[in-house]
This record gives sequence, C-alpha cells and structure tokens, in this order.
Amino acid sequence: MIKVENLKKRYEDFCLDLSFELPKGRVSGLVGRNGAGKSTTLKSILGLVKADEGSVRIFGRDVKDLSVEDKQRLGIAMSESAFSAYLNIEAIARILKQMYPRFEEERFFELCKKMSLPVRKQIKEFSTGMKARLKVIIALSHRADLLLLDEPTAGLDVEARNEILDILRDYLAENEEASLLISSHISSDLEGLCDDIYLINDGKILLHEATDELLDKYGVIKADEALFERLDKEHILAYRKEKYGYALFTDAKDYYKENYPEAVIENGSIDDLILIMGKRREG
Amino acid sequence: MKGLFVKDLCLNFMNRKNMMIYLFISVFMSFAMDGQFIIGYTTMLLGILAVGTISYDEFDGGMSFLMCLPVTRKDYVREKFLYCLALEILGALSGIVIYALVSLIRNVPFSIPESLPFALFSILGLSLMLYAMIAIQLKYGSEKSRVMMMVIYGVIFALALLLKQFAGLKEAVFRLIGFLDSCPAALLTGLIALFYLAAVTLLYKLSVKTMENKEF
Repeated sequence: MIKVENLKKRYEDFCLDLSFELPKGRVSGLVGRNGAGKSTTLKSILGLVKADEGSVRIFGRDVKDLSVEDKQRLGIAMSESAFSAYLNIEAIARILKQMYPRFEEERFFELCKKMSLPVRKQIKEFSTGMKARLKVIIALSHRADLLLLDEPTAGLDVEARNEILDILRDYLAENEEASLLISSHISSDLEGLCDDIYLINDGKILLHEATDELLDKYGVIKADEALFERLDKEHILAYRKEKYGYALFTDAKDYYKENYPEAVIENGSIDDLILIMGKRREG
Repeated sequence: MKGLFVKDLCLNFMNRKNMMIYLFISVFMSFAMDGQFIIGYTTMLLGILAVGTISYDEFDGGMSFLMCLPVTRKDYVREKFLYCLALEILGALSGIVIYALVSLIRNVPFSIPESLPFALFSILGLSLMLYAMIAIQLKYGSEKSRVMMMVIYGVIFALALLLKQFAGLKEAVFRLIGFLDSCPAALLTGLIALFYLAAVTLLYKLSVKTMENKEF
C-alpha cells in the first residue's frame, strides 16, 4: 500500500530521513514525542511537502502521479487541517457524495448521530472532541483502502479517545484488507490497535517492532548503580539516569529475569519506548 | 472538481445573510443611481464572493486537507476560475433583474437587450481583475494578497499620473485608442478576444504553477 524509500526532507533545524513499508491489511502506528517528525512523515507520504530525496509510492504509484481515482481510495484525517469550519455536516455530506463514488451517506449520518454530532451546526461551533470525531468519520465514510490518520485522538479525554478507537476497530473488522497508518503520541491508543509500531525521533525511525513482541519481550529494568555496573548490556537498547539509578530498556526481558532475579523488571510499554529510546542520548 | 464546486456553493450559501445584505444594498443603490451601473456592481459583488472562498479554504490550515481529497492542484485552480465566472454570470443576471424591476417601479424606460452587451463586458472585464486576485491570493495568501493588491492599485495610479505628466506618452495612448476606434468591428472584437484569452491563460498558468510548487 505504501512504500517509502530513503525519504529525506530537510528543514533548517530538522531532517526527516526514513524508509518503511505498509502492506495490505496492516495497521501500523507511528509514535514519537511532539516534533519528532510524525506529521511531516504523513505529509510527505501524501505529497503535501516535497521530498528532497527518495521516493514515496502509494498503491504502487509515485505519490506525485496519484490519480483522482487513487485518491478516492484514501481516507485522511489530519491533526491541524479539515474541511472549512464554516461548513456544517450536511454540506460536508453533499461534498463527499460528489467526491467519492463509494461514499456511504446513510452510514455517515448514522455515525454522526451515534457520536452526537449536530448536522446543521457550523463546525466552528463544535468542541475539540466533536471536531476530532467528525474528522475520523469523514475518513471512514467512503470505504477507503488506505487510512492515514494523524493524531486523531490528540487533545481528547479518555472517553472521547475510546469512542474514536472503537469506530476505527469496527471499520478495520469490517474491512480486513484495509491498511491503516496512524500517528499518535498517546501510546496506549496504539497498543490495542496496531500490528506494529514505528518509533520516530528527530525524523528517524529508532525502532520498528510488532506490538505483541514489544509488549511481550520488551521491558524496563530498574537498576541501582551496583547492578547497572555488572549488568550484561548486550540486550539493552537504551537507558537513562534516574534518581534511584538507571532505567534500562531491553528487548530480552526474560533473559534478565532469569539471570538477574534481584532486578526489578517491568513490562515494557510504548510510553517507556518513547521516554527512554527518545531520550537515550541523556543516558 | 464537482465536489469543489459544491463546497464553494455551500460556503457562500452558509453566508447567505451577508449576501442578502449585499443584495439589499444593491437594490438601494439602483434607486439612487441611474442606468445600468447596478449590473456591473452585482457582477463584481458575486465575483468577489467567489474569490473569497479561497480565504475560507485557507482558514485554519484547511488547504492541506483539501489537497488530500480526490482533486488535483490543477483541478483546484480550474474550479476557482470557473466558479468565479459562474458567480459573475449570476451576478450580472441578478443585476439585470434588479435594473429592470427598479426601472419599472420608477417608471423610467429600460431595455434588457441593450443592457446585455454591458453585462457581457462587465463579466469579461471584471473576470480579468478577479482572476488576477485569485493568482495573487494563491501566491501570497489571504493576508499578504491584500497588501499586494494595494501595491498593484498604487502602481496603476502611478502609471496614470505618469501618463498625465508626459505628453508624448499620452499622445501614444490616444493614437492607440484612435487606431482601435478606426478598426473594423470584427477586427476589434478579435483583438479584444485575443487579449482576453491571452491574459486568462497567463493568469491560469501562473495560478497552477503557484499551486503545484506549494507545500502545505
């Protein structure tokens, strides 16, 4: 579905440099702190910013050559951009009907109703949560084969985030061949949704791992100075200094459990991944 | 492109209250002023409303999302040009209706067929100005384009002053007007059509180039 090869985009104080692939039916998450390069990655994939080097292919076609028909197969929700806030949902439905042959009007209004979105009120009067829900509903309204969602749950409370994640899960269950690339800095949102996770930091992919593997094999070792000194560092991916000693991120949790029974080892989470891997130079 | 057209219609319709106020002003003006002035006024009014949809598109970074929809950047420009023309035609027709109704109420003679050439020239002449506004707004954004328009008006004013100052230049312009005046009607129409098409093509190509080079 997506193939990104040696994509480079340079800004004054930032350089995006990555390669990755999103096959059919895969749900991948992009995680990283604010400013890590998640939105720039998605914008580059969509051709909104031009790559300095490398290539991006969607449905096997260079992103520059995407046809209108190709774009009809995309479902997009962007973090800081949407339909004009001066429109209302009824108007948006009229527009989508003209733009997407596979637009499911009935389902669209059904979801709006389910999410308590008023159809005649201008979007500018919506709350942040309502706007976020609408963005996702729009992206899912036309049976897209490829979904690209940039921070769809940013700035929302737990309830609103769960609602959005539920809509996404339902969609993916109904459309098994659809692929999803979703970015977020809220890792728990992605843990229950994604097949694999890419950790991005300073425009580069620091780690790519299947979510199950990440949660099963990865862990955080909490070590004091003495334990830190004698610890075998072969399976330590990154560490950072803490008040009590060191927090070490490993991809072989069981190995350390077996060989260092005195060590405190916690299950790894994507939050640990962002915190420790993203700041590993501090270690 | 049809979707973009619907979007712009919806955007303008959402602001129908403002449109009604403008329409009311038009009717009021047509009572205060003589002749077909109102046709030019309504043509320009609706044309400006059409160009104004670019500001709505740009509001809150909305353009990046629009460019992800199933439209090309060229489609976007083409739609703006056509939408602008469509609204100008609607404006001219409304102007003719207002002109006719007000003339009836005031009991003054009027002729719809005679007002048609004026409406056509209003549409074509104003469309050049509006297309230039589209090109400038796409290039510089809503805020900067206002400054750019002021600069352009300033340059035009300065040129007019220059024309007044230099007798030779003034004579050359008069000679050109005299030449055009002496041209057969068919040749003159052809020259105007050629100039119009060349100007529209240039403005369209500039707008497409701007959009294609833009990053969102």
